[in-house]
Amino acid sequence: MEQTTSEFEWHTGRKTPVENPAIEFVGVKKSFGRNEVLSGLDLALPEDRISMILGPSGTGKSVCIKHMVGLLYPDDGDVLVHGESVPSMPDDDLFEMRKKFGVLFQDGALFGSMDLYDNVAFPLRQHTDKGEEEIADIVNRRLKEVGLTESGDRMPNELSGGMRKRAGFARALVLDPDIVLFDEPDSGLDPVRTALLCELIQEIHAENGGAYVVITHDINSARRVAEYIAVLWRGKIVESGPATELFESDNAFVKQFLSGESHGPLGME
Amino acid sequence: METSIGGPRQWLEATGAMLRFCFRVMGEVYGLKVFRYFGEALRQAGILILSSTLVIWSLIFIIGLQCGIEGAYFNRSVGSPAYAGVFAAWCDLRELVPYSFGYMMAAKVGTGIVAELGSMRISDEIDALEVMGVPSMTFLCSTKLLAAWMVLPFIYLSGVGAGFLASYLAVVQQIGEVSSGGYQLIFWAFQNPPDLLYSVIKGMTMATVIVLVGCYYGYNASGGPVGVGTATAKSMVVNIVLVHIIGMLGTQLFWGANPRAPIGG
Amino acid sequence: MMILTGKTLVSALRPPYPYGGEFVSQFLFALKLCWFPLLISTVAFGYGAPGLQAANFLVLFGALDRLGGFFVLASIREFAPFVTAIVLAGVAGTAITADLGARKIREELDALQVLGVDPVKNLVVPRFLALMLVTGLFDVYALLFGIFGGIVATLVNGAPLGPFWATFFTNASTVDLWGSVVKCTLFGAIIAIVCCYKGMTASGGAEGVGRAVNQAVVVAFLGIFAFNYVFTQTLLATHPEIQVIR
Repeated sequence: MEQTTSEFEWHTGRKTPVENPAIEFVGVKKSFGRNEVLSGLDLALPEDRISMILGPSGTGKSVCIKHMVGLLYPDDGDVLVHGESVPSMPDDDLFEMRKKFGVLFQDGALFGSMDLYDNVAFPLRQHTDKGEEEIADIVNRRLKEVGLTESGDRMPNELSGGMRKRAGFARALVLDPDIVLFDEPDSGLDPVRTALLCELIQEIHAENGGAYVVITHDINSARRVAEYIAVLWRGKIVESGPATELFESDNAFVKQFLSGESHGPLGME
Repeated sequence: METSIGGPRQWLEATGAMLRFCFRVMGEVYGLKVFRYFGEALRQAGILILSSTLVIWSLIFIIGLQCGIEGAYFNRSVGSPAYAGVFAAWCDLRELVPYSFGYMMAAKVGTGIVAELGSMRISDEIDALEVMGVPSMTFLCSTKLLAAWMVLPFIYLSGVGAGFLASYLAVVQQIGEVSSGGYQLIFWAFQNPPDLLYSVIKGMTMATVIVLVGCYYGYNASGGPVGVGTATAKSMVVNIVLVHIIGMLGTQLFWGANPRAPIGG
Repeated sequence: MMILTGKTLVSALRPPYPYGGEFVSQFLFALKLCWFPLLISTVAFGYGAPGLQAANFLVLFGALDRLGGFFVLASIREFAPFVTAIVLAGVAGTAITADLGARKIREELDALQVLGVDPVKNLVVPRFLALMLVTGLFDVYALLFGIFGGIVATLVNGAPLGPFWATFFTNASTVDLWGSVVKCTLFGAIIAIVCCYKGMTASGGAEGVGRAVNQAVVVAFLGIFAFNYVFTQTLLATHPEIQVIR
């Protein structure tokens, strides 16, 4: 609470150079009305790794994800996906580019009007000319991967939160995306389910590769799965780097946040 | 929490945003982009038929009864009870059927769309669509508009039928001052196909506006389930006002100085 | 819904009466929300439907001076209460459902009960009374503006206003006026009960409140229309003198 010193005192912005980044943010600024959510975000996320963007609640983590897939445009700065600038893409290219992505939304974001099977099959039906048999093949394989083989004919509102998340995961994977984004995969799950989901993410990443980006404020899942970590606070990166480096950081804010203590630069505000 | 009338400036801004949205949705239907998702449009049409037809009919039926009764009393007063059919014909076809159709559309379909799209918005389903490379506005809004245009003329026409039947029952069976044949003669003499066409145009204009307003409020909902509720309530306010304005302008435009009645001088 | 009606009536009458402040604020809330939509709606409706069309009809008989009489029948007895009810259900009713629904899913209603406060008495009763009063008063307001629409229609047809008023006042009876106001007040009661009920039983989930508002308007509209039919029939049957236009 003693925030008398500079607002960005702890933001050293220290980052380990990333070779061949999948996603890059360059000086991204975004405000909603008078409320500045991202204030000059510089970030590079590596290819073929599970990266985590960590930060206290309300620091613009979800806004980050929306910038990556072009649902929001930055007021200033640029977002690059595989070296291409997202904000300057025309609409058609944008829709094309989005097929590279798979996104798991907070509550799965399954379509309430379709059963689970149709939800997972939806991207295939929209974007490929695969026949129903081939689709059934892929869908069943994905459902099996996330352990929902028996629930294909159930509606989303009959499923538990964890099942909805796994189903959303299957849907995100079905187009074999290069980049998979996870928006708070652990929100609303108990610790055991969270651990299981983390394991699942690791397994599937080991199998398919690609850049995975997980957004969370849960340190335990960070310890478990993260290979690369970026800590976000007040719309800027405090520090970012490989997980092992960050967990040994001597930055007071990073230390406090990664160990979950109540004393330190971060107060209730 | 409820700001139906902000300052004039906000009001203008909101209107501008809404118009831009409406033109985009209509442009996508007009530009045939929507036919990529024709299956979805058919599904929406099916839902529309199954869920809304009955309430719309029943409302128009009750209105038809009212029209018949008032018409019979009024014509008795000007000394021409035999002409109750005129009143029913005009009152039903030209005014009250479009109005009650508009009311029920706004209540059932308009708010339904807001609730559905709003909940999709706040549970990230619309973002999910976008991310999967499906243009959500086309897939959700334009298909609904197309479905409405495909189905509603028929629901409307059958609604007109329900209204006519109700007026007939009220005038001939309940009040019973006119014979069935006498009523029919006058009733059919005082309307012609252009009347029906104008009436359908009126109803369809209302329906289009209602669907678009519903889509706008649903698509742009925010603030959790509570926000969806507020958006639903707001859409209803806008729709009620618009229905009345369209009704009045339609009457003025189509029948303002031309009663189109088969009586000389 | 019937249970809620009963509970509301009972707790409205039985002391204590803690709902004064809430009643006033709800009353002003509905007033602020509705006056503008109602103004546009009644003038548009009065000008279009009974005004222009009836004038067309009366011109045929060369009896445009009868428009005033027609307005008693159309506006006072039917359209004013009817449009008022539609607008109030659409505007104030939906706002009430959205408000109560929001409180329900934020668990405020449960919190009230835990604190030993009866939600029916403190939330439903004031809304019920306020909406009844507002709808009754707005009926008069709608009458005035509906008749204003009729005047515009008369002027558009190039007829003098004198005969309009003459037939208007020979036909207007107190029975018509109180019938209209009573009818409208009861409409208000229907709207309030339906909307409160739907709001208080809103289910959770993303769709909950929106769905509740949707159902509330549909049920309220159907209720109003059905009740309107019954009421008009009863009034005409019990007061045969108003059937005749003089």
